Amino acid sequence: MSDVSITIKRGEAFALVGETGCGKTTLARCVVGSIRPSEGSVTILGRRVGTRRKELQKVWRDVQMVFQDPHSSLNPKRSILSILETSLRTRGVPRGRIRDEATTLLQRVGLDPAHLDRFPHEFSGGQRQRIGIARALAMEPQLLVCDEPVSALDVSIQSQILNLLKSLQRELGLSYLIITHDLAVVRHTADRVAVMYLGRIVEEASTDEIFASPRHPYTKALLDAVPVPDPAVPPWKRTVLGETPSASEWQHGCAFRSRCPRADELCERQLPLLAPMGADRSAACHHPEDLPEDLPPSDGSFP
Amino acid sequence: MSPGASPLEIDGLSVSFRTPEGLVPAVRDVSLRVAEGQRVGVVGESGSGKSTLLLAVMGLLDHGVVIEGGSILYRGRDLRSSSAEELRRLQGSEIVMVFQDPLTSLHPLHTVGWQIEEAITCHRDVGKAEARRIAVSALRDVGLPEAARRARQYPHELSGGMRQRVMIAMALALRPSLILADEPTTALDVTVQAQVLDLLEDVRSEIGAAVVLVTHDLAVIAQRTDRTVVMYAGSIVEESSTARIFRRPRHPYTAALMESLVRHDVRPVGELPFIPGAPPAFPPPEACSFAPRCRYAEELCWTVAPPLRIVDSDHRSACHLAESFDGEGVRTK
Amino acid sequence: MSRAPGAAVGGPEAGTAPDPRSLRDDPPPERSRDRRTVMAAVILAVILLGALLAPLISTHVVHHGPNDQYVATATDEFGLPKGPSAEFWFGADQLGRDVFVRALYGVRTSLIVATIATIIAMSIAIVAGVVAGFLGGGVDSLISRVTDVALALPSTLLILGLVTACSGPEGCAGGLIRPGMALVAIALGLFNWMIAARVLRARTLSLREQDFVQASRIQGLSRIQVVRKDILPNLIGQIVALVTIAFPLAVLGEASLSFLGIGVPATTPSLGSMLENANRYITVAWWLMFFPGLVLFGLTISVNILGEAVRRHVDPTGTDGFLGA
Repeated sequence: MSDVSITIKRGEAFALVGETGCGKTTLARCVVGSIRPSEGSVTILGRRVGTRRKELQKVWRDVQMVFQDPHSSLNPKRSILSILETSLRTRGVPRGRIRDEATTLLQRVGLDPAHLDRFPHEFSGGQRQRIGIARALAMEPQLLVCDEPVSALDVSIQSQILNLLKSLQRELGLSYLIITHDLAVVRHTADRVAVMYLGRIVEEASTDEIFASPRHPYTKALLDAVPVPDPAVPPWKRTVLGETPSASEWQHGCAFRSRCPRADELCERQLPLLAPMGADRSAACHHPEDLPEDLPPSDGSFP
Repeated sequence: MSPGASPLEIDGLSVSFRTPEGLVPAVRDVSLRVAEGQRVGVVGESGSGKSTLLLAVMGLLDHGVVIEGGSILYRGRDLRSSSAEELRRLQGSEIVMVFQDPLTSLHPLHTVGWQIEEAITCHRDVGKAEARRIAVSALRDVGLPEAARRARQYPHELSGGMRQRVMIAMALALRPSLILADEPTTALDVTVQAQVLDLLEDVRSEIGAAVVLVTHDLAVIAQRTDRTVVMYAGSIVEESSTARIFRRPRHPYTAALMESLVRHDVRPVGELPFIPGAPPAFPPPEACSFAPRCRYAEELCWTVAPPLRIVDSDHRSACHLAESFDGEGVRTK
Repeated sequence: MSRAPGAAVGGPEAGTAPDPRSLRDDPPPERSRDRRTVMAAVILAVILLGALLAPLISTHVVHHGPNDQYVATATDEFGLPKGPSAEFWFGADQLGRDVFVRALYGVRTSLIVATIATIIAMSIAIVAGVVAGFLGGGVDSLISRVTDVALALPSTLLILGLVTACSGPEGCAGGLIRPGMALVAIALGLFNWMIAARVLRARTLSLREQDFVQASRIQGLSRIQVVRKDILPNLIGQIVALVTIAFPLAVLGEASLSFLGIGVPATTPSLGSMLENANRYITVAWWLMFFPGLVLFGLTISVNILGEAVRRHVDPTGTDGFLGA
C-alpha cells in the first residue's frame, strides 16, 4: 500500500472498494492499530494511532472493528455475555450493570437478550454478525471499521445487516469506514468512496458521483463487470482483460496500464497522481473518462 | 445409453445426511431436466441443497450422506446404478465438473499441462504428442498468456482466475456434453469473474455442451442462463425460463429474494427490503418450508406442503397461492 | 447452519449402506469401532481395578506378597519355578515370588510413573508451545531451537548416564537425586514434551490469526488475558488428544527403562524388569514373560483405543472446529 490519504468526516460513511490485493484490508488494520504503517500516520479524533499499548487503549475507545467472517470472529468457547463483557469492562462498566448493558446492546442490534448465555455456534451467520456489531458498539466508538460486513452472509440476510448498519449510523451518529469489494454494498451504505488498485487510491468521490460518472478506467471496468440481475441486460462489455498483476510485476508508470484500454506510453513512463476532477473528487489517471456520455447502459442510475 | 436422450434428467431425487439424531434431508424430491446445449442455473442460499444435488450426480457425496430415492439419468443411462469405474470413465469424457476452488480438483503435484494431457489421453483416442498439442492449444484458447510456459507450471503457481481457466481448458479439450459448475466464480474478483463466465459461455457454445450452473448469485443466473431453478430448504420452489422468472416470479421466496437483492445499479431509497428470519435447519415435512418467512402465508401453507406444479406455461412453482401471486419481478430502471 | 456435518457419525448408522459407486477415496466409518472401544474399556477397567486393589488382593485373596519368596511351594525339586496353578495364578519366578501379584503391583508402578511423567511433559509442552506460538519472533525462535535440540538428544543414553551417576550411596545434588520412581517419571517427562510442544505451537499460531483474537485485543485485553480466554480454551481438544497419546508412551517408556535396568529400583515391581528377568528363564518358564507381557500389552493397547475414542468425541475433525486450521 502506498501513499494513501483519506479523511472521514464525523457521521460520514466512507467506503474503500477494490479487489483482492488492493490493500484495503491492510489499510483497515492500520486504522485500528493492528498493523504499523511504514510511513505516514493515522489520526483519529485528533489522536494519533501509535504502537504502544497505552496509546492504543485510548484509540480503541474511539475506533472499533466489525470483522468479515462470522464464523471466526467470535470465540466458540465464550458465551455472548462473556464476549460483550470484555468490552464493557474495558469501558469501565461496573460488574453489576454488565448484564443490563449487554441486554441493551443485543436489543439494539435486533437480537433477543434471552440469548446472552448462549454460545456462538447456536446462532446463524447473520446473527453472529449482529453480535460482532454489538461487540464493537459496546465500546461506544465514534468510528466503526467494517471489513466486508456482509460478504460471508446469505443474500437474503445481507440487506438486513446493511439496514442495521444504516440505522445505527443515524441513531448513534457513527462514522464508518467500510471495506468491501461489493459495489452494491457501497451504493447502499456509503456517502463517499475511494477506489483502490494495487495499493494506491485511483479515484475518490461521493457515491453518487462515482456511480454516475466514474473517471478512472478501473472504476468503470469494475462497474461494467458487476453482473446485473436482469436478463434483459446483456452481460459485460469486456472493457478490461487479464488479472491484477502482483505488486512485484509492476515497476513503473501506472499500475493499471497492463489492463487498461486507454493506456499509452505516457502511462508506462509516468505514475499518475491523484488530480482533482471536480468539486470534491479526484482520480489518478492520465486519460480519465470524460463525460457521462460514455456510460454503459447497465448503469441505470443516472439521477 | 441413448445419445438422443437429454444430457441430464433427475427424477424425485432425495439426499439426506446421516447424523447421530437420524437422517436429515438435504435434497427433497427434486426433479429437473436439462436439454441439449441448455444453460440451467440452480440458485439458492446456504442449506438449499443445491451443491449437494450436484455432488450426488457424480457420486461425490461424503460418506455420511446417502441418496434415499429417485433417479439420475445421463442420456438415459442410470447413474445411480453405475459402478465407480463407470462414473470415473464418464467424468472427464462426457461430464466435466468445475468447482469453486480448482485448487482442490487439480492435482497439486502435477503440472497443469500434464493434467490436461492425461485427461485427454484417457478419454480421447489420441497419442501423447497430439494430446500435448491439444492441451496447449486449449490453454491458449482460454486466454492464458504464454500458454506453453503455463502448461509446465503447477496449480499453486497460478492465480485463482487462471486455475479456473485451466479447468475450462480441460472442458474445451475433452468436449463433454455436460458441464456441472458449482459456484465457479464465487471466489474470484468481479473483473475476473466476468471474464471467466464469458469464457465458459464461449467454450460451451463452441462444443455445444449443456451447463448446470449452481450459484447463490442471482445476477449471474439472470445474465448467463436460459432456465432458472430456485431451491429453498432442499426443494425446488420455482422453475421456468430465466426471462420469465425474472419478469414475473411465481413464488414468494423468489420474489422476496429479488426484492431484497442489494444492487449497485439502483439508487437506494430508504430501507432495503429484506426477508426476516433465516432458512430453516430442519424443515417440517407437512408445511411449506418458507411459511415462517412468507408474508402471504395462509392456514393451508402451515398444514400442507405445496407440491411443485405447473402454474403457467413452462412455469412450475411450489406455492399454494402461485396462480394469484403477482410478483413484481426485477426492477428495470 | 442447516447443514449437518458429514463427518459427524457417532451413533449407529441408520440402516443405509454407503454409496457403492462413490468416487470418494476416504474410507467409510467402521461399524466395528464401537465394539473395539467397549472391549478396550472393559480390559482397562479390569486392569485398573486390579492395580487399585493390589494390596487387598495380595493380602486377602491370594495371600502372597509381591516380594515374598515362597521357595518351598513355588519351586520344584530342581529349584526351577512352577508354572500357573491354583495357588500361583500366573506361576512363580525363580525366587519363588508370585507373578500375578507382582504383575498387579507392576501395573501400579506403570500408572504412577506414567501419570507423573505425562503431567510434567504436557506442562512443559503447553508453556513452550503456547508461548512460542503466541509471541512469535525471537522468543519463538529460541523455544523452537531448544525443542529441536531436545529432540536430537539421545534420551535413553542420557537417562542411563543420569541413573548411573546417581546410583551411588549419596546420590546426586547432595542426595536430592536418587534412583527411583520419581527420577524415572521426571526423566520421562523431560524427554517427551517436544512433539506436543510443536503441535501446540502450530495450533496456537493458527488460532492467533483468527479474527476473534484480534477482536479481543481491540477490546482491550492484554496478551496474557488473550491467551487465557481465547487461546487456551480452544486448545483443550488438542491437549486431551495429546495426553491420550503421551500416556501410553510413558507407560512403555517406564517399562523400557526398567527392562534395561535403569528404571525403577529392583525392589519396586515393574512390568519392564519382570520382562527382563524373564529373558533368562524363557526356555524353562514361559509364564514369566507371557503374563507380564500380556498385561503390559493389554494396558497399552486399551489406553490407545480409548484415547482414540476420546479424541473422536472431543475433537472429531482434529481441528477444534476450525476448518483449515
